Amino acid sequence: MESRAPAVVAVVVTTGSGPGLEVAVASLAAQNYEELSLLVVANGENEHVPARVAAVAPNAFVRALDENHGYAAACNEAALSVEGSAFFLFCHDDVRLEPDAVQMMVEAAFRTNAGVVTPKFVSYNDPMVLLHVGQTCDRFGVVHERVEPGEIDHGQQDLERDVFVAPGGATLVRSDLFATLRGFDPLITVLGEDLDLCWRAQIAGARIVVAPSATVAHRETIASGERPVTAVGTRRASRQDLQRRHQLLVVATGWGRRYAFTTLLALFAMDTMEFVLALVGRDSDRAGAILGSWRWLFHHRRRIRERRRQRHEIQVLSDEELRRLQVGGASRLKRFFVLFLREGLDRARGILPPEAIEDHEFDADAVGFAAAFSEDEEFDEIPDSAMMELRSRPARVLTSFRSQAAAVLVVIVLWLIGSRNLVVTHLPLIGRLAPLDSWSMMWRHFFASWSPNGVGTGSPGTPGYAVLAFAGTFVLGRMGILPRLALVFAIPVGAIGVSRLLRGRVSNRARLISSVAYMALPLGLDMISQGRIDVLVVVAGLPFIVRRLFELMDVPGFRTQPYGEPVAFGHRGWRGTLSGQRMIAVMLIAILTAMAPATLIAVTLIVLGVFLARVFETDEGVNTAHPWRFLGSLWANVAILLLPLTVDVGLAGRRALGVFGLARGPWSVPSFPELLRGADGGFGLSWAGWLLPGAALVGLLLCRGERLRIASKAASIATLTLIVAALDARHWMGSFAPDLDVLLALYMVMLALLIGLGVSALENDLRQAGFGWRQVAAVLTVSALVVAAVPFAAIFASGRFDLPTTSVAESLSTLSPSSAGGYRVLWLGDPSVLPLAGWSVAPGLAAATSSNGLPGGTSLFSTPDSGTSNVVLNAVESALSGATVRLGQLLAPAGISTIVVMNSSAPELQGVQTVPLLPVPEVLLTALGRQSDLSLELQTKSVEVFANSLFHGIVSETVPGEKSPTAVFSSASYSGPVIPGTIVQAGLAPASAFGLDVDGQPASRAIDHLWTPIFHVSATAGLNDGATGPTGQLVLRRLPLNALLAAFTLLMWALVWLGFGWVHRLEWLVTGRRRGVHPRHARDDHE
Amino acid sequence: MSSPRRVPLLLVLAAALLVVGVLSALAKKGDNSHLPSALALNGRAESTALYCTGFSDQKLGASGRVIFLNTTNQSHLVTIDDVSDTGDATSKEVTLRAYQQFGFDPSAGMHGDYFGVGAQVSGGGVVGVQVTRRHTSEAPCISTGVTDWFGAGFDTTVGSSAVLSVYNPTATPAVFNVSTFSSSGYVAPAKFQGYAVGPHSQAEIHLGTEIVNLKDVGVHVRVLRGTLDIVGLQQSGPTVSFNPGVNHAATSAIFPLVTTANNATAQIRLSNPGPTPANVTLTVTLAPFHVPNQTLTVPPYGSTVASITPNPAIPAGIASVVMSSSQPVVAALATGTGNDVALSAPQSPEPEFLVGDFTGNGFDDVTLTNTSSRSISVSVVSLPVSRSGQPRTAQIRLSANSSQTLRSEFPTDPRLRGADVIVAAPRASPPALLVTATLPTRPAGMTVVSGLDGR
Repeated sequence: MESRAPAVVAVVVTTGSGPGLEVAVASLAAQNYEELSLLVVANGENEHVPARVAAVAPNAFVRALDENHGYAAACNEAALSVEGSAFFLFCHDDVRLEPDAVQMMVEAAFRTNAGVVTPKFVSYNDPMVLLHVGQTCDRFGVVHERVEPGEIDHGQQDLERDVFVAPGGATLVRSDLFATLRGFDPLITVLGEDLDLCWRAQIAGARIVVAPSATVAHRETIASGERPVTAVGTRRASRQDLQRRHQLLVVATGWGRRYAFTTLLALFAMDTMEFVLALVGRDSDRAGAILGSWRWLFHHRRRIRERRRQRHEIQVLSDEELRRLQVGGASRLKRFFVLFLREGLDRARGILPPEAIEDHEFDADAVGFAAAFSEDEEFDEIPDSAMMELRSRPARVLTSFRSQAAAVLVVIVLWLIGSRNLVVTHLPLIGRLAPLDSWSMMWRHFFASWSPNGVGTGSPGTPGYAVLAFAGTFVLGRMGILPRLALVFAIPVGAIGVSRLLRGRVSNRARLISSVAYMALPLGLDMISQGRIDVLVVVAGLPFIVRRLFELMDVPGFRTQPYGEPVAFGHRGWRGTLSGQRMIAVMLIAILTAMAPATLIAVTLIVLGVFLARVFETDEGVNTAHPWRFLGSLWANVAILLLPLTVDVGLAGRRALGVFGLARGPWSVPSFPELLRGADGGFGLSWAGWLLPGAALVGLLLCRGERLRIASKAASIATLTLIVAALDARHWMGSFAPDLDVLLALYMVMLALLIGLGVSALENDLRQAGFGWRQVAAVLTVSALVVAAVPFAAIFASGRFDLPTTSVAESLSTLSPSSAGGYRVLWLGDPSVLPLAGWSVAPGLAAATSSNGLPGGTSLFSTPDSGTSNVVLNAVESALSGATVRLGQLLAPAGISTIVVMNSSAPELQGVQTVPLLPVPEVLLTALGRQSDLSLELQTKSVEVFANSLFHGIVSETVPGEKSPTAVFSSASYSGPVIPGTIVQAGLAPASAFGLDVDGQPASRAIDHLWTPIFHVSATAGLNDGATGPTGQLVLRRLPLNALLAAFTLLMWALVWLGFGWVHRLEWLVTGRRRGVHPRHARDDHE
Repeated sequence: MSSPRRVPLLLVLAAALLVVGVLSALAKKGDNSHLPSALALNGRAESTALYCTGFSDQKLGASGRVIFLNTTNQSHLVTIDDVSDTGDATSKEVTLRAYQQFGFDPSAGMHGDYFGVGAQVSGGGVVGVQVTRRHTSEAPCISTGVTDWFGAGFDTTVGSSAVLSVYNPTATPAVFNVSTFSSSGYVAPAKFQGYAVGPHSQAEIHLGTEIVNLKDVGVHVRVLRGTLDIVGLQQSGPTVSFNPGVNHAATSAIFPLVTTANNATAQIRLSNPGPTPANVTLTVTLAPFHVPNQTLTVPPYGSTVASITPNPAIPAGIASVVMSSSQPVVAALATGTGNDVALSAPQSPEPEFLVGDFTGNGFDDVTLTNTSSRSISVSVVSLPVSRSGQPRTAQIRLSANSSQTLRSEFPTDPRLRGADVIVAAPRASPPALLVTATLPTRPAGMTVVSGLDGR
C-alpha cells in the first residue's frame, strides 16, 4: 500500500508591487515537501504577477483577481478554487520559508492534531532575531507577543506548544477546519484576520500550535509602512481605524451573550477614557478612530448577528474555557498606566516625540494583526514585550537623575519658602520653644546638684541637656539657633531618613515620593505649629532608627550583606560587626530618648510589630525566637547610656511611667479618625488628610514578594502604634501614657514606608496581576498622591507652618510681682499646651512651675519623680476634689504668686492666627473659683490667671509678733539683710540641702510644712554691724553626686565613640608609635 | 522563599484596629465638668468654707443668725468673717468641739443694712444654716459660690419687697448681670448690668426699684467674673423667707411636702428663662385621692403661677407635686396664708442631707423621698448631743419612687425637737435621695425649709 503525504496547497496572496514575491514563491518552490502545490493569488494590479511567478516557479498556479478585496477575501477565493487538499498554507508575499518549513509544520499538525500551525518567524534581514513564536491575547482582543523585541534566537523558544493566535505571514490551516469556519471573514480586509480566524478556531475546539522547527523569515512590509493598505473600502481608513474596527468585531462576536456584554462594556469604558484623553491631547485621529470603530460596529450589526449565529453552530469550547486560554487583565489599561507612571501622559496616550519612535527597533518589523499592536500604532498598539523593554530602561517621570534632582530642588525651594519666617522672626513661647540657656549653662544643668524644677529637686540632671549642649557645640554655642534648626530642618532630615530607609529596596522615584509624602504628612507640620521641638527631633531621627532596627532584625532586603567577623572593641572594623551596628542603633535611640523618652516605646513597637508580622509569615533563615532578648538588650543599653534619667525613673516610684509622657484629657486628644490620619493639630483635619494614609493602605494591598514582607511589617507596626495611641488617648492604660505625638511620628514613618513600597509595587507588581481591583487601586493611589500635594502647597503661605506669632505665656510677663524673695508661677493645663515640662495631676491636667517669670532653659525637661514638688500637685488635687478652699495658702510656702491656667498655647487672633483649644477640665476652673484666697486677674478664652493673695515670696521672713511673713532677699542671689530674731522660710527643696549663713555663721534650721526649711536668725546676729544690720545668704550644701553621675555618663558615651575604631587610631597617644596605614576594613564603611 | 501570607495578617490587623476604633468611638470623651461634691460634711477635707447671706438689719425684717454645727467627733477651728453692705467687717475665730453648735448674729455690732458671712473651717464636717429671727424661714449656708443663679416667684407689689442678697466669698472682684422674667416679659434693667461686688464683700439688689409692682418675677443672675453666694429675700407682709434659688433651669422639679390645707395658699411659681414656650405638667399626688394633672404653658421669658391651694380639684392634706416641663424652667413653691407667703426653692436629690432643729421648735414633718426607680436603703444617723456620745444609726428601706416620713424613727418626739440627723443614701449617679422638711406652722406644713443642707 502506497503511503502518500497529505496534500498541501500554499496560497500566496500578493498585492501591488509585492517587493518580496519572487523570494517567497521561490522559497515555496524549493520546499522538500512532495505534495505541495503553489497557488499565487494576484489581488488586483496583476499585470506582471504571472511572469514574475513563472520566472521562479514555473509549476505554480496564478489566479488573478480584478479587485483587491483584502487578504482574507483572496484566501477564501483561493480555497474555493482548490479541491482535495488536506491543508492550506496561507502566505504573505513578503516571507521566506526555510526548505523544510512546510514539512515541519505538517508533521507538527499530525503530531499534535492541531487545526492551525504557525512557524517560528524570524527577521527577514537577520534570521537570528525572533519576531513571533505564536501569540496570545486578552479578552479584549489585544494581542501579546511571546518574545521580546530583538530577542536573539538561541533555541530558547524551540518547543512545540499551544498558542492562541497564529500570526499572519505563513499559516498552515487544516482544510476541513477552514471549511467549517467558513474561511476568513471577508469583512476583515486586513489587520486582524489572523486573530479572528484563530479565535473562531479555538471556539470550534481546534488546537493552534507553534512549530518552532519550521522557520519563516517575514519582511512585514505592511507594518513597516513599506506598502500601503490598498484593499477596497480601506483607502480612507487608517490602520488605526481598521485595527479598532476589527478588534471590536472579534470581541463582539467572540463571546457568549453575558461575556460579550461585560467585555464590551469594559471596552467601552476604556475607549471612553481614551477618547477623553485624545480630546485633551487634541489627537483627532485617535478620537475619530475610536468613534468610528463603534459606529462601524453598529453599522454592521447584521453581520454581527450572523457571525454570532455561526459561532453558535461551531461552538465547542465554553466562554470560561476560552478565557483560560487567554492572558488575564486588560493589557491596554495596564500599558497605559505603566507608561503613564514611567513616561508621562503624552507617552501613555501614544504621542511620542519622533526621535523616541526611532529608538524602538521593534517598530519596523511588524506585519499582520500583531503588527497593528506595535508601538507606532500608539498606546494601545504597544506589544506586551515592549513592557519588558520599558522595565529595563529609565522611565521619564521622576526617574532620570535630572528630573529627580529638579524635583528635590523644587521641594527644597518650596520648603524654604514655607519656613522662611521660622528662620529669623520671633519664636513664641509655646511647646518646647522656651529660650535655651547658654551653652555652658546647659552643661551646668546636666551636672547640677540642684534644679529649680517644681519647688526644687536634687535629682540627677536630665541627659537631654547634655544632648542640647553637645548640639550647641556645633553651632559655636549660639543656642538660639538650635530650635530654629529643628523647626526648619527636622522634617526634611526625616524625609532623608525615609529615603535612606528605602534605599536599595525601591526605585529612586519611589524613595523620592515617599520622602515628599513624609514631609506632607500632617504630624510633622502640626508639631512645628505647636513648637514641639522634642517631637520634631524624633520626626527627624526615627526613620534612621527604623532602618537600623530593620537591619538588625534582618527584615528581608535590609541586611544586604552579612555582618563582618567579630573585631575587638575599639579596633577598626568593629563598627561593621553586629555589636558595632547594634551599638549605633542604641546610640541613636539613646539620643532621641534623651529628648523624648517615648522614643523607647516607639522602638518597642517596632520590634513587636516585626515580631507580630513574623508570626504570620516567618522570614526564612531568620531566628525570630527571642525578640524579648533583643528588646531587652536595647532597653538595657539605652538605660546605661542615659544613666541619670534611669536613676530618676528608678526613684520616681508610681510616677515612673510618667517619663514617657503625661496623660492628656480624653476630650482634647485626637479622635480615632484623626489618629488614622496622623493628625494632632490644625493640619490633616480636612478630607485631604485621608489621602496619604489611603495611598499607604493601597500600597500595602498592591505589594508582592519581598515588598509585601516589608510592607506587612510596616503595617503591623503602624497598627500596633495606632492601637497604643488610641488606648493612650482614651487613658485606658492608666498612668502609662506615652507621648501621643511620638507614637504618631512612628506611624508617620510607617505610612511613608508603605507609600514608597506602594509606588514600587505600581512599578513592578501591578503588571503581574490580571485586570481587577489592583488597577482601580492603582488609579486611586496615583490620584491620592497627586491630590495630596495640593493642600500641601497651600500651607506655605504663612511662612511658618502656622506657628503662632505670639504666645499666651508672653502676654503674661507683666503679671509678675515684685522680685523680692523670688516668686514662682504655677502653670496648669493640658500637657501639650504647657510651655514647659511638668507632672501630671489628672488626665488632661499637668502642672509645672517656673521661677521668677516665664519658663526658660531650666524647664525644658523635668524628672519623672516629682519629689517634693508633690506638695504643689497635692494641693491642686485637693482643690480639684473640693477638699480645700485655701489653695493660695497651701501654695504660698512654695512662693507661688500666680496660677496660670492655659486652654491654648497661643491666643486666638482674628484673621492672624488660629490655635486649637485644648481646655483644662472645667472642674479645675470651678475649683479655683472656689478658693477664698485666689483672685481672678485675667480671663480670656486662652488663659485664666489667678493671683495668690497670700503670696510672700519664695524666701520670706516672719517677724515675731506679726502673723504675715514678708518677702526678703534678692531673687537672683537669695541673699540680703535680715532682722535679728526673725524666722526665715525658704520655699526651696530639698530642705536638707539648704542652709542660711548670717554674716557667715550658719543659722539653725528646722523643717516646716513638712518640706520647707526655716531658719531662726539669732536675736544677737549682726550686733556688731552697726547701722547695716546682719546679712543672710542661702547656700546649697550637697555632695556633687549628680556631677559624678553625669561625668560617668559622658564617659560611657565617649567610650562607645572610641569603640568605633578610635581606640585603635588613638593608640599612638599612649604608645608613642604611629601605626601604619591599613586599608579600611570592608565593613568599616558599613553604612 | 515562600510567598508571604497577606490576608491573615491584614485580617488580624484590621480586626484589631476596628475593635479599638469602635471602642474609642463609643467611649465617652470624659465628663470634665463635674466637680466632686464639696459637701460641708466632708470630714476629710483640708479646709472648707461656708457662705451665708440674706441677713438684714433688724429694722428691715430679715434679721437672723447663722448656726454652725460640727457633725464630726473632732474639734474644728472656724474663722468667721462678717461683712456688711457698707463695708464694715469683723472676723472671729471659734473652735467647735465635737457635735457642738454655735450661733452667730451677723448684724450684732455691725453697721449696715445687709450682711454676708464667710466662714473658713479647718477641715470639714461643719455645716451652717441661716435662720430668720422669727423662725419663718431656714436655709443652709453654701460651701461654694455659683456662676449662674435662678430664682422664681418674687413679688414686688405694694406691701412686699424682693431683694437679692449677694455675697462675694472669694478674693476675686465679681461682676454680674441680672435679668428678670415676669408677666411683662423679659427685662434686663441697665442698673443691674455689670454690677460689681468687691472681694469678700456684700451687696444687695432691690428688685422693686426696677421691676415695679409685679408678682411672680423670675430672676437670672449671670456672673461674668468670679463666683457669688446669692439668696433671694422675699418679704411679704410680716413674713420673710429665704429663696436659695437654683443653679440652672430644669425640666423637672419635686416638691414632696405641699400643704393643701384649707385657708392655706400653695402655688408653684414658674419662670421660663428661654426663648421657647414651656409646656408644664404638674402631677399632684395626695393619697388616697386621685388628682388630675394640671397643665399650663409658660411663655418665653415670662412667668406664670399654678395654684395648688386653694384649688377645688385638690382635697386638703399634704401633697407631693412633681413638675415636668418641655423646656427648662425655674420653679419655686410659695406657701402661706393670704398674701403672706414664703418662698422656697425646689431641692435636688443628693447623697446626704442634714436635718437639724436649728429653731428649737422641731418640724411639722420631715419626708424622705426616693426619686429613683429602685429601692434604696437609707441610713439615718442621729448626732449625739454630748461630746462624748456616739452617733446612733438606723436603716430605712425606701421603695422605688416613694416617700416616707422620718417621724416614724423618732416615736418619742415625732417633731424631732433638738435633733440633728444626717440622712445618707448609697452613692449613686444621679443621687436618688430627697429630704424635705416643714417648720412648725398652723395650719401645718406651710413653711417649707428651703434646701436642707446637702447642696
